[in-house]
Amino acid sequence: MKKGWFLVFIGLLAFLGLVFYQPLFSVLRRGLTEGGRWSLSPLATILTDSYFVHIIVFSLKQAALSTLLSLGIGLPGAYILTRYSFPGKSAIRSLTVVPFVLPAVVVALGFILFFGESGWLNQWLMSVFHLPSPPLHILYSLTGIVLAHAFYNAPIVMRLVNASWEGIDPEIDEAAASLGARGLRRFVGITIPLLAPALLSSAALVFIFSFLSFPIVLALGGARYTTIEVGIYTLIRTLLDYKLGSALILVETALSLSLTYVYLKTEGGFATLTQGSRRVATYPLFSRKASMCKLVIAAYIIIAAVFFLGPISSILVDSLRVRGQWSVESYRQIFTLGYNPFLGVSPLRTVLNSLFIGGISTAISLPVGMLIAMFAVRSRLPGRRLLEAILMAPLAVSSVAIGFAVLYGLGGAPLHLSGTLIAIALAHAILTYPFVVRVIRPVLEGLDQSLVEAARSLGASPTRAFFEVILPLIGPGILVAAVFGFALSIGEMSATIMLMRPGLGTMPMAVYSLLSARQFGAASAMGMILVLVAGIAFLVIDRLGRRGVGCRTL
Amino acid sequence: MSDLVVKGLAKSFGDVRALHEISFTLGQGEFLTLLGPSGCGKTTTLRLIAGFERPDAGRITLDGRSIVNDPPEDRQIGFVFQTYALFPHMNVAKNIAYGARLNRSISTKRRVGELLDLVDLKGFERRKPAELSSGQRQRIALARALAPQPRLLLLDEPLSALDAKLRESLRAQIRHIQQELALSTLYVTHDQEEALSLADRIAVMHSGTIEQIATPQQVYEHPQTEFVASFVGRANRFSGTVMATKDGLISVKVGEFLFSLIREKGLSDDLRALQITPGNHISLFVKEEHLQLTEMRENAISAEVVLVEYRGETSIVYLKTQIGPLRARVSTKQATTLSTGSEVKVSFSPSAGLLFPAS
Repeated sequence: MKKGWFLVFIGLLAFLGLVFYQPLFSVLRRGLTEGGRWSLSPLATILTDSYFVHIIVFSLKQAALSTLLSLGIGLPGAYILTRYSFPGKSAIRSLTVVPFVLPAVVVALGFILFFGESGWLNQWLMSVFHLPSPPLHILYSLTGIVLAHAFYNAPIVMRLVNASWEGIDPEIDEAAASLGARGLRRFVGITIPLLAPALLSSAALVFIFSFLSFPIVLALGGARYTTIEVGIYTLIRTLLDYKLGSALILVETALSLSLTYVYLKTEGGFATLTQGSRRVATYPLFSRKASMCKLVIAAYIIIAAVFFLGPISSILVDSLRVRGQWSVESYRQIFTLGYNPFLGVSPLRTVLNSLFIGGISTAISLPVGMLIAMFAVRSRLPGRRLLEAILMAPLAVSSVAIGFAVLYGLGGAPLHLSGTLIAIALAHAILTYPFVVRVIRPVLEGLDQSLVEAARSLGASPTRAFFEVILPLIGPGILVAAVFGFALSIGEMSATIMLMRPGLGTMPMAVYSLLSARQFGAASAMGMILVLVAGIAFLVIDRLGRRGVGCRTL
Repeated sequence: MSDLVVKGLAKSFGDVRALHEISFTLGQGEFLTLLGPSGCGKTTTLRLIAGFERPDAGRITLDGRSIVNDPPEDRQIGFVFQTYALFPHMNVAKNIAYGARLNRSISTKRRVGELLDLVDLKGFERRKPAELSSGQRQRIALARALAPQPRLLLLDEPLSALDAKLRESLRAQIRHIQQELALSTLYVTHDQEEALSLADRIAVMHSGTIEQIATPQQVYEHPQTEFVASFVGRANRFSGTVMATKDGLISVKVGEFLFSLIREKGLSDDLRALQITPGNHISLFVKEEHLQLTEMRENAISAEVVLVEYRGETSIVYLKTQIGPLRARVSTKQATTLSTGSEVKVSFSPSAGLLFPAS
């Protein structure tokens, strides 16, 4: 039994070595060679050229601003969620998981439709205030990128900080009060330090996500606003400069690894805070007693509702409107096997491609993620922490880099994966398995080992105990992981674009192509399918998540 | 004839030696308690017998056949866990039926009914474990372990997560069921009251070894090692030196005081084996209920009352003496005559002292 597991694990390492580590290393090595020999000159080019220095600085700057704005929007939300009770509170809390499954290109689409020059917000402002021209110029600028990142990441801040806040034993605050500390003093002296690990860790996470974000910058940044991620894409796919592209990947990976290190350092800090069984007391938000505080909260809620719901509703409305009339014409354009010149393939083909890729990718990422989670929970090997960190490496490497690694490492002999859907599915599997691990790991950790022992003392063989006791208990967790992995694959665009060939289009790629061609109706209709997939994924994750499995660590 | 024989059992976890050569036997229908502080190896012993861990050395035989190489599912040994370990996805009936179902010879449905009857939980068949109180959960866990008609029942601190009242009533119920079924039972606990009240015999364990294995009365009244004397019951401990031995009496010097003890009563096996000679350093134990606050001729010293603690029928009196603080348990009737700060004489009978070689 034990030996069997060991062999399976060795097989897993060999597989990941073949499809991920070796290709990634050859890309990184490519960035350190010149004419077939080791050389620092590609790296020197990157670090001295004013264009590259500019995009590196811009990447960090937009990530920092995105983090600040996400905290600015997310923290009041976390406060309201923690301290007030109101109808729909648990729904709001659940909805904070949506950004994880909502494809970034859909967010970009929603932003263009809502915040764009002729978007809904500008039109509304023009008609209300009788303005001759659109007052807001948000898109294709730093503001647009930062706003879209905040849309994506503020819910994450809200989720993490709220969870940590509710985990603080109210008796700690009561102890401080009984010692004579007043409101603000308690907040600054007790609450803030206790929340600090959650604040730091969510900030680090948001920074990493924004730093490595690709579709949003590509779609909303325009030509003038380029990050490292978009720079790599341009170098490799447009200029075909593999050498400088690889060198830029090297720089990016070094930065993202250090950021991830900071994140992992802070992450451990707040998991242990939960002690007491009592919850923080909440106040009803909607009561007769009005106060200045509630007025501010009401204003926040209205702004947040417009900010979060506006872009998504715009997609729905635009998908159903053609030339100012209600119509399902856009959907008819999507559900056809006829050739679409903007996509280079039929729209329905992209839907089928996405489903195929999602299926294959999940079939790989699920067993890989489960094995790693089991290893992380069960193994007593020395050095297992380090091995675990290495196994989670795809979290710290950008999607564009992973896409290129698969292209560069596996595109040619002996596998000849270049130009196949399998290559895209493989890249997606690599990108998503760490998330599978993060879902399944706490499920396995929560599994009481004595349940298996109980079953065996009652006469059940190990196999029986697995099927009758373990599987029913972790099954929902596995389903959540599978659905999550599938949804991530369906919405993935960054690695996909690196592996794109005519005929291979996926749904997010179709949205992007239609967007670039300013076919907003068809883009919205396609976007709505992605919203639907994300919505179903969300419902499954949320439903099963309530039964004690799930997305605590998402 | 379900005899369990454990011989030379040893187990280490990494560098930590959990068990050193444990040996004992458990007769048919006997109730043996493993008593000891946490980390003494009592749970490890139980888990080795159940087959959840493999011993590094030693033999375990049940009914004359070695079971060391059997997986847990083939041992027919019931196990009740401290945390219940009820299957959360199955209702009460399915939990109980789980083991019985795997044993073809048992009619599952009838067995579930019988066992729910036995643990007084008829009508709970459809409840899920989450819908039960902790006391009910533990009774279901007991019923589940009994369902496949095990040859031996192991209980790992089954009552430690329950409150005091419940603990006492469940304790009686467990003992009653065990006697009714004449089931050989091994029971792990760190609670001496539980061990004393439940068991036919107690094995007191300490850092991986058995210190003494005897009836509750023997363990309480005639502890064989200093550890047992200090762990079971409440005793006052003094360090002293043997001054003389004659006429069946030993005189021991503690501080400035000379105490005399009856030789045959007060010696542990360790000391009996050693020749007791003047000059030997010893530890003297006197149980708190053996200290008397009435004036006696022998072994009397003066003390100051520091605190009187009311405990119902008896009271605890904390005393300050020249040889250190003492605790005496006296009748409340007597304790009410004492006031804090007053001077009293405290004494003990020569037969109440227990001697051990100085540790």
